[in-house]
Amino acid sequence: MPQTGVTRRRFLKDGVLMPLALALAGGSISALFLRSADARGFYLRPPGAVEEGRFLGACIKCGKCAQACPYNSIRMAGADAGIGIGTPHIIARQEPCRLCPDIPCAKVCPSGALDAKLENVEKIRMGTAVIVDRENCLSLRGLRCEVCYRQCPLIDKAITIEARHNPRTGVHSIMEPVVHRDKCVGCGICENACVRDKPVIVVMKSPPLQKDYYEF
Amino acid sequence: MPVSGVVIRCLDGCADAVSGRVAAFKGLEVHGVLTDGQIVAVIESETVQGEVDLVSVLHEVEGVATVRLAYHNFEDVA
Amino acid sequence: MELSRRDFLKASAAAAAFAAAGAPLMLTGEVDAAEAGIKWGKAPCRFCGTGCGVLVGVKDNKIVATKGDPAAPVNRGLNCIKGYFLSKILYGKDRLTKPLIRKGNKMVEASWDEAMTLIAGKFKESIDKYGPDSVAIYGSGQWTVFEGYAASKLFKGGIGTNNIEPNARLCMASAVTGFMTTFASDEPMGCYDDLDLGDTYFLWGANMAECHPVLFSRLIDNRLKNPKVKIIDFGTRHTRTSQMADKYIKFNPQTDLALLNAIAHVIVKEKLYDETFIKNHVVFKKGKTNIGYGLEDKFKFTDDPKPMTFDEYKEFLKEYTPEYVAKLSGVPAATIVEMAHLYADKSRKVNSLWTMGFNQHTRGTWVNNLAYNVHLLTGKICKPGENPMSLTGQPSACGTAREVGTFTHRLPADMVVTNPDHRAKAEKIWGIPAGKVPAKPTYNATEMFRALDRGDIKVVWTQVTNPFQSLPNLNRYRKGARKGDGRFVIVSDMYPTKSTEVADVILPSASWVEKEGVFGNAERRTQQWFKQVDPPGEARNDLWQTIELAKRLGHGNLFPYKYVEKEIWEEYRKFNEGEGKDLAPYEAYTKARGLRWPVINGKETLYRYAEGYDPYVKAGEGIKFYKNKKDGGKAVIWARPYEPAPEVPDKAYPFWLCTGRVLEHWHTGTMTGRVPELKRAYPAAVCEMNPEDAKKLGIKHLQKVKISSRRGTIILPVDLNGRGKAEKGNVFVAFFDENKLINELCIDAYCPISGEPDYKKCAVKVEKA
Repeated sequence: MPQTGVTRRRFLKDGVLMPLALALAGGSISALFLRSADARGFYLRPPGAVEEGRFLGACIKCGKCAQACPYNSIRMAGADAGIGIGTPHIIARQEPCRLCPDIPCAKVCPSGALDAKLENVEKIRMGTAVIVDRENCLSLRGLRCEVCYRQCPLIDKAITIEARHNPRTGVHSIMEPVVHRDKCVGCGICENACVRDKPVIVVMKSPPLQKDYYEF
Repeated sequence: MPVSGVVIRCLDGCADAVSGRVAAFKGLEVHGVLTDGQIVAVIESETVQGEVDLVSVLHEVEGVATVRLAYHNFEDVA
Repeated sequence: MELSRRDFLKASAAAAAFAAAGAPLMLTGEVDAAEAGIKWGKAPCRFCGTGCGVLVGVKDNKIVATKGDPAAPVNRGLNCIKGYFLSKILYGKDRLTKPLIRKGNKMVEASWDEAMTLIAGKFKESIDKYGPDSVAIYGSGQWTVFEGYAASKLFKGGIGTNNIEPNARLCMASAVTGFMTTFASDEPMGCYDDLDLGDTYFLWGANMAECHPVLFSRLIDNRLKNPKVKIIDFGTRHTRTSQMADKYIKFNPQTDLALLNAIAHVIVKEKLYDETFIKNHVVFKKGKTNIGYGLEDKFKFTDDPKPMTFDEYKEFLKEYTPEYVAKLSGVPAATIVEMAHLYADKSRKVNSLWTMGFNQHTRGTWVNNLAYNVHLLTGKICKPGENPMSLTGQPSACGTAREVGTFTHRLPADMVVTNPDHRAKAEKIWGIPAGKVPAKPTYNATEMFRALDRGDIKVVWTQVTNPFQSLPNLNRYRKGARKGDGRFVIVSDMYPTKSTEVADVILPSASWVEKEGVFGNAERRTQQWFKQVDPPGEARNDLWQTIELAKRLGHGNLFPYKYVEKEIWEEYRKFNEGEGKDLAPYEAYTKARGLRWPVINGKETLYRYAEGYDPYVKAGEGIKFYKNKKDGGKAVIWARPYEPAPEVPDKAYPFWLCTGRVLEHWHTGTMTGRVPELKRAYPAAVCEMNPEDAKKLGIKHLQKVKISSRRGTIILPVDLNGRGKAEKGNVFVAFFDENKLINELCIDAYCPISGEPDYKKCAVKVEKA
């Protein structure tokens, strides 16, 4: 039987998973989880990774960063990464980055694909966590969850709780986990800890920076 | 090894009977009978021609109005 | 193509066809059938003392869903995530389904008859040889009322021993003795409505955000609606509660005693007290000092209360100046004064809330008394929105352990075995000969397991609890259980635990809605549920097990019931009638979403001791602490001094170790640890440490450290920036992890009055692992 090419396989995967996902979830949300990391529009790279375009050029696929990770969070991408085959990435839902204070993965990168001079975990920018399914977030529905917040290694910085009145019960508060884009490092611990079957908070590619002059 | 998903539209009130009739067809699996008279099934065959033949036979079954293809995979992965 | 890939493609094909046909994945008929097939029944949540109501959905004899009960006043449909996953707690893979008997090093399956014959034989043998005090039962604040009642009746009324203790000795005993010494009656005078109606809340050593989640949500909403609301968090550790409080006041462990006295000092000095209230409703007393710590086996203490005058009490308070207490506690003197003013502010409705920081304390009774003192001095008590509230941890520490009285010294309805009238009443209701109920208490929980270790107790049966993970100074008691020489340990549980590990017989038990039950929560609300699914395999409920033992020991006559649960209820409620703890007939609870006692003529009581709310208070009395007949219906302000903890940090062991819970897990994690989502959310214990302390020792975040006390040692990764931020000189470890038995390090020192051990304070050292 002739081997189908990457493009063919990609096509079929899209063809298979998209209708299946649609039928199952009635929306495109679950497609994000059933597909590999690239479904979010990016691969969650290890700490210190340079911008993706340059990363793909710089990464020599030696696997040293994966070996350095004490949690086996870094894995090497397969053929579905296309040109990125063999590059390191993190699947947060399975094993997130734990933000080791001495950032051993970046330190050991020989090519500069990961910035070996990175010293402060708070400066890491792997991605940004986003609550993508508010209707299924237990905290937003008024239950006491906020696991993502409590497990966030940058608790009260990257994620804070904003309490507001729960009009349905009239006597409780809704404790909304709010992600702060400028502080979130994208480690994915929140995504990993989320108690729903499909995590309602996921690490996405960080939005581009922008600012204006308002003082608030 | 083609695999296809098909929707069989039946004449009014015939859905259950049709589903019984086609259940024994080789290469056809009924996955659901809807309340509006549609039957969802999966067919598979050795070749694409085999699928075409099966669908043709389906059209001839008593009570079947139309058969339409919803999904067709003809991936040849070794 | 491989078969599995083909199946996958076929599934995709079908799904696509469904989508094309415009059908939902579930055929409409199927969806309705699925919904229609679910039978919903009410139950209180299996977990904390909040007592949220849930609806349990059953189909084909299996729980397929649970949801918060919107009709339940406690939670109005909300839960925390432990409650959210209730549908999973009964279905862990390793659920115990058959009795197991130890043969050598193996646990061998046996029939119920075999197991119960063996157990009854061991009981008989031990009672014959060594007397009734050589056997014991250790139960639980997670026992249903029926289970607790049956155990108490069998052991006290049948076997004739006071060797019955609940695990509530380890969590609420100090609250109980606090209530009993101050008010002569257990349990709070207020209710959860106080969370909506007050404006000032002092939290003392209570991580309400994580340990009473739905109640905390209610408190926060009060503040959102009313900008006047202030929440003050007095603690030794910065928690999520501290984070949301208006003010977090850190204090050195144990100095809560001094702080409360200092607040009283300011109130008295500046004449901020309510003179009329004190005159009408308060007497002053003092007790012994230097009362010890229960560290020696068979430690005994009896207090010697002596009356005091108000002036003598003022004299007692003199030394607790803000300046002195500031030095002791680390809380600035100005803050102490500010808090005293806040407490006494006549325009404010003040509440105090506390849980384990106060109760698990070698002076737990005292610190409970001292909290009441401030409310009694200011007259801020027994009013809607203004009460001291002891928060209960377990779902039925109130309903079962405390109200039924499953303690060595207790009988139902606040009664005690040492009182001949109380014993006579129990004997009458139980239909047993006069003199049958023994008059002397034997052991509190810690002493009970010391007795097992020594061999003074030979046979111990534990139900619905996990002492061989939860006892302090754990190593001694685990070893004690396996010393042989006639010792025999029976453990009834639903899953294998650290306790089943040391058992001679394991009995598979039904859990929660696999049996009919009643729990009583922290606001005196008694809640009933019916059995909704069968327990798995041969598991049977603990009530049946206890009655079965009774029959085999010749005490079956104590349990002549047909509808066991209902008849036990109607018999039990006779104890409470007319005692200010009245319970309604059983049917009332099958219908209601719980009722707060005393329930008189079907009407529940929101505020005890308060005219217009409590039917026992006569018109014109205003407030009357009518249970304290000895002091003419007045409450007691106790002069309790500051005394240090028995083991304080020193050069060899320079840190305080505190233990506690997290929201995701319940107690020893035997249930929540088997819910994959909760396990994933918080998989393993960590050691919270202060970053400055860590830096001095060259320890980095997530690094493994070895923590040791004089009793045990443990290795844990360190957390320098988590949900709980340790203060300098302190570390904190949660006790849910069965792979990390932190209680091995804890000290088994206890409050001499309550017998409750101090899990919050002992001395440890921390080193790189």
